Amino acid sequence: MKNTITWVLRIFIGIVGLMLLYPGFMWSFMPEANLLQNSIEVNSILGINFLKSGMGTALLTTAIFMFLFLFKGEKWFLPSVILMATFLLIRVVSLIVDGSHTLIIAGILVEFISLIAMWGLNKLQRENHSQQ
Amino acid sequence: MDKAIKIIIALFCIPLLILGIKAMFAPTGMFTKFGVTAMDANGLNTIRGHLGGTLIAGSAMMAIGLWKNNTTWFLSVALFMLLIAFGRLVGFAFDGVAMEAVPVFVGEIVISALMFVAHKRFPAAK
Repeated sequence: MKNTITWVLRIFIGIVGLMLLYPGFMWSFMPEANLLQNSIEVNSILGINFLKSGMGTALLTTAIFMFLFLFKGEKWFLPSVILMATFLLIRVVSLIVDGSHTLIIAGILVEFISLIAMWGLNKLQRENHSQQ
Repeated sequence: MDKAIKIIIALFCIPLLILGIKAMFAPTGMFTKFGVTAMDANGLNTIRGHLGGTLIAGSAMMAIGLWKNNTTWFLSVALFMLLIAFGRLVGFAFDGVAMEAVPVFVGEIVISALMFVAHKRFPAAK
């Protein structure tokens, strides 16, 4: 049973990682659709450069950290969690300050569930290691 | 030398944290300067969350790396600083070079290099 849950969590975290790669790539290389979807207007080269590097990196780094946690082990657990938890915390602050939107709620849910999944997977992997 | 590297890392934590807090709590003023305007709550949320989050997390990772003496944290920061720099390069290539972004780009490369050096120099704590 524990093995099954471990694999379900691994697959879930892998899927979330893959889901983050796509918007990360889009923000980095073709941000127009994301700008439109997020109602962000940019009117300078500095601004578009800032968004491509900042937004693309946020998503790509989170995805890479999640993959490193999956494939390279526990030492990447806390960096992944810190990054995801900071996004979640700031999203919640912004939800209170700026108001709500369907995409904000979706983001909060995905980040919250991913954090629980990573915590659960880390716990199960630790238990497996200690049993071995 | 090792102490100097640790002091420099500690010093780099501060501007990252300040920028992250600014992006989190006062994004409008900060991003208007860059020509970026968020038109609704979702845009503001995305900017606050992703940009503020990345900067604050970066600062926190450096601080935890110093505190716990664990260089995986430095490697994490090096990785995402390199990705930020790569994103800027993509911007330079496709949109043109924004002169104001060049010093920041150099700073990101320097921080990234420093993090790799710290990771290599403190092997006992890996």
